[in-house]
Amino acid sequence: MKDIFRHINKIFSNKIRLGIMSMLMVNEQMDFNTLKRLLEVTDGNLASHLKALEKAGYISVHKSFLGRKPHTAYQATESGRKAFEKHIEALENLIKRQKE
Amino acid sequence: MQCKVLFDMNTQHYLEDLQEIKRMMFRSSKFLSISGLSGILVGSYALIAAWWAWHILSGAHIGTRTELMQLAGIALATLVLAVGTAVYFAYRKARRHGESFWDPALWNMIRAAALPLLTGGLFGAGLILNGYYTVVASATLVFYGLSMVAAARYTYADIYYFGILEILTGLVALFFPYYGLVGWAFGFGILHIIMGIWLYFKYDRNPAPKA
Repeated sequence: MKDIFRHINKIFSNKIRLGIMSMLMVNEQMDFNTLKRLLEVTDGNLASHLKALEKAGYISVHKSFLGRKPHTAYQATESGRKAFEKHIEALENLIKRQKE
Repeated sequence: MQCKVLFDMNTQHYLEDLQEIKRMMFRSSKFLSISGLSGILVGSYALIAAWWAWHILSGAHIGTRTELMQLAGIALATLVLAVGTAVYFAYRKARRHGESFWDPALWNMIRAAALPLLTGGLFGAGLILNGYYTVVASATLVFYGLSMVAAARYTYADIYYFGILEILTGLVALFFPYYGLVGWAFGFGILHIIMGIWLYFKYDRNPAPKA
């Protein structure tokens, strides 16, 4: 019983962090404003969740300038991808078990 | 018993999480502002252009140099008008749904379609310059179909089947070399109109479902 919860990742229990990782799984990289628009959250809220994912080593940050505007792009790291795949697998297993 | 209830509640929660993952993956990777109306208009332009070209050729299969220039002019004007219409309507649809037009998915879509599209364009130009007029329609239809199949990954899945139909039209046209214009009118005209009506009724007429 306990074993099947092992791969449920606490970091992904938050809807916004879950959304960020979902998008970075299917997009090579995404910028701050696009993430903000698709998740419909405030700057501060998004920034704090991005920080948490960065701290966990699941995403990497690339800062640059587009003309004079700062541009921040985010990318899922290899360990972030692996952790998220495991998380999805664990969710599916839990649901499957419930149906049996 | 209590444990079982708790487990059920959690399952509901996990199910929601999985749905959210799917929803965000879909939303962030697909360009959904393609408009059905633009398909109908683009198809109509193609039919008018084909009708005009048919008049210029007036039954002859290989035109003179001036006729060739006129045909090239019509083709180019149709292309510019078609691309302009598609972009304008997509922009309008994006605006109406409060979405941004310059989506990362749009770039992915353009990148995927560009290679077969540019290859097809140059290939077609090469055929014309070498006088292989009878296979131009076929070649452009096949390459256009391939580009739609490639682009479909980043937009509505229906575009994939549209691409397949374009490829099939091109291949069939290959066996009727003197009816290239008919194949061209069907592929770029009729098929665009059918696809446009299909997209319009499936996605545009009702407010977009929350993915």
